[in-house]
Amino acid sequence: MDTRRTGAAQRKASWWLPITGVLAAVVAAVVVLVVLFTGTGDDEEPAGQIALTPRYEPGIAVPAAAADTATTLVTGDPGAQRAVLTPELAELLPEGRLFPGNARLVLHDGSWHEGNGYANAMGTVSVRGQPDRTVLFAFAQRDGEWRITLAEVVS
Amino acid sequence: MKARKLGGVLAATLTLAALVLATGTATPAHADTVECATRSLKPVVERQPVEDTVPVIFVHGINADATTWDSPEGNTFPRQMAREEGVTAWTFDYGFANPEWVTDPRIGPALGTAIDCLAEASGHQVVLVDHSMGGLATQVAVNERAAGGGRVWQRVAEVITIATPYRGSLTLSAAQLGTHLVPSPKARVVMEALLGTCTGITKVSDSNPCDIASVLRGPQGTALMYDSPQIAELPAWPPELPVRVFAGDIGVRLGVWRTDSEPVRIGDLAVSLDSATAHHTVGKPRVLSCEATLLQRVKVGFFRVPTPSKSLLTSPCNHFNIKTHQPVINEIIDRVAEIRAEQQDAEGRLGYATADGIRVWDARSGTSHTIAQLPDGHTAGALAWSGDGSAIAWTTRSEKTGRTGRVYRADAGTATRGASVRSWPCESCGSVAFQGELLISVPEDSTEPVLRGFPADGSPPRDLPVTGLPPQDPELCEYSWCGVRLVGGTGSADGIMLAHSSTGGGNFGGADRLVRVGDDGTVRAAYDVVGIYAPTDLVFSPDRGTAAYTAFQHLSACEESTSVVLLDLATGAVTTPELPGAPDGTWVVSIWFDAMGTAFAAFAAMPSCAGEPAWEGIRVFRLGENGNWKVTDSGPAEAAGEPIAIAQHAEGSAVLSGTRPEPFQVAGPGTLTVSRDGEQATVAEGVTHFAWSPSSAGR
Repeated sequence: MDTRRTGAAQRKASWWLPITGVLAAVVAAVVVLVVLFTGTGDDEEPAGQIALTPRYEPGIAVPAAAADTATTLVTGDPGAQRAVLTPELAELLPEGRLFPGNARLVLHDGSWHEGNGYANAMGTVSVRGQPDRTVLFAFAQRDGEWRITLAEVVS
Repeated sequence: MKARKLGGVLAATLTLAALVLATGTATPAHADTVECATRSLKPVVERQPVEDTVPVIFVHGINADATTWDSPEGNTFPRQMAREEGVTAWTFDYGFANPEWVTDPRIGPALGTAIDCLAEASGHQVVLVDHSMGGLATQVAVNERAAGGGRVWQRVAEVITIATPYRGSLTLSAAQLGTHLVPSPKARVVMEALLGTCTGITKVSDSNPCDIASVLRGPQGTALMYDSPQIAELPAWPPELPVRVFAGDIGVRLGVWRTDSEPVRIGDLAVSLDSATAHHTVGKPRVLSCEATLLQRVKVGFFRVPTPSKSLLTSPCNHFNIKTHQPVINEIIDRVAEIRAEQQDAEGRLGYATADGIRVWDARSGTSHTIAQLPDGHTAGALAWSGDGSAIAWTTRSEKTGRTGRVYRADAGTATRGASVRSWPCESCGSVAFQGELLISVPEDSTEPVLRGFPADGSPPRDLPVTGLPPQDPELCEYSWCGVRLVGGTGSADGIMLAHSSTGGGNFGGADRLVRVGDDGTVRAAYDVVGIYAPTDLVFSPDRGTAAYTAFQHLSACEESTSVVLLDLATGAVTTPELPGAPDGTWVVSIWFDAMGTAFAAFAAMPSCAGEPAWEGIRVFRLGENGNWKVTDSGPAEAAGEPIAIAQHAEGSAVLSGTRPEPFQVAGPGTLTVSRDGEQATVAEGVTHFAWSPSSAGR
């Protein structure tokens, strides 16, 4: 996915454009959680595809608690999946599984970035019969626990 | 005895000078775009004449530069603006000063200098088109001191802001302080996702959406948090300055939550609607409403990956796109054209009175049209323009009795439209002035001080008692003048100026104080008065913040002088700049302000007890930044006879010249001559009064 815009003006775009891009991309990513796995999507082709391709500083090992959270999101039962989301996100999503039942997750070593109560990590989600996908998980700390705020397929 | 005689002579001169009521604009020196160009301020079109154009400055926002305006491609907003007749377009680029806050000398203050220079070079007030934080840079700039005196906002016709975070950005606050600040649960979810995603981002570049992470820590990012102390500490917007607002408001339908009937309103993504519209003084905020949906999806293997609809990133309402959205461009260009027309309409009209009637000379056409005929046996006794230049008023005086007969008011009209005239009897009315739409005179034979208002609809006049004046001293007032005299008005509701004496005016009928009276008749302010006569030649700066008048002082036959007195109406501070020549040989003929608020005066040098005059005839001086009079290059028009009253304006110099049997004695009607663009024309013979219409620069 590419947020770059063409032309001199766009290359020098206002600082707010990134915000717009981030917000748009993140909103989309939040939606991923539902649309990916609730099977409600249709085959409508978009006019263009936009995604977030940030480059990260080298990270550290994913803490065990956060790893558990991400793993539960991908592999847990529907109730467990919902329990690892932030309450606000959980409340907004429709009922049903968030990942397919046969999905598996391998978190990437050294992909953990944390600051000011927020964090993220990368992982590979595998579903039998489908290509592996790299997924970005974003976390927010709530009552000392890491909760999911976003899961986006980045490649 | 000589003093008395000279006093009377001078009073006549001052009376004539008092007719030079209008503010005007000094004709600026020829200048092109090189004149004001700096590292920051650049013309959109090189080497374009600036003189007599309305400059429009485009000011970019946070962490950007002037190229942010380079859209639509091939026909950018600034270039579209530059093609407008009578307009020069400029960009102000402070990209090199990023990420400093708008108070940095290279940003807000430098913009103030740029505005000041362009106003001076063009002779017109400047329009600002600001995107985002550029509006806050302008907030700093307009409060800067102007080189010619006053504040920069007085050089600004209008500020147009697009998506300016007047209260800061809730998005930035949420990013730095917590998402609980975001009121909408859905928007809060979005923000949480954003913050988690951007943690640990390494490379900051224009193409990286998580650029926000670095800017947040900079001065601009911190200062732009919602209701931040940095924004609160900015100098307040001058209430008189017109500010017009454009804002975007996007309603986002969040796809999976398709059951929602109402979209989530998120402002322009970066600035919420309440912040973008928190300050405005002109009309209602222009809010562009858009909707965006995030439902589009694309197949990626097993995954059905939803992607944001292009409608969000390309939404004309989003923070980035709104500023160069063609309908917005069109509206702003139309508004600038209106401003240009308003400035032209309000300038360049010279009202004058002859024995026959009241007429208005239009500088653009070079022709006069009649407003009204004077009744037989009467002459005009006073002449005044309304504050917005839409109406003109005068009194008539009986040639037989010398007393005022009626008060008149007329729409200024045009040669083709004519004018509607209304009149009222008022036998003891002296001068006239406007209090907003209401024409005011003050009967001088009333036992109690009153403002007599003459409504624009021609209905009967109504008296309003003046309250708040000190009581009169019965002993001192038994033999000398006590009471109030109308000496002028700013044109605003609280701008009627009266001379007041409560202790007797002394041998010369002087006043104890000047008072400013509101539309309820109460005294709003009292000011010290200089001179031994009640001021009768009050003029006002275009912003109506400063008044000036001629003061006459007499100590002995060889110690008589006039001086220009400047009065700050806000603080009451009084200054009397040193005369440009010997005090007893230098006499004030006329005073006026140009559109930028710079004071000008015409001085005559006369033989005095000290010797020969310092120069021949009359010279025009400009009040410099150091408070001293400086002779100007543009002298009065060469008229037949000696100039006896002068007033300059953007459209030219008007000189009334006649025959004076002895110094400072006005012998009667004279010839009104206008000098414009190096050419001179006689407007009329037998002119008794004249006044330029107020400059549009004035507020």
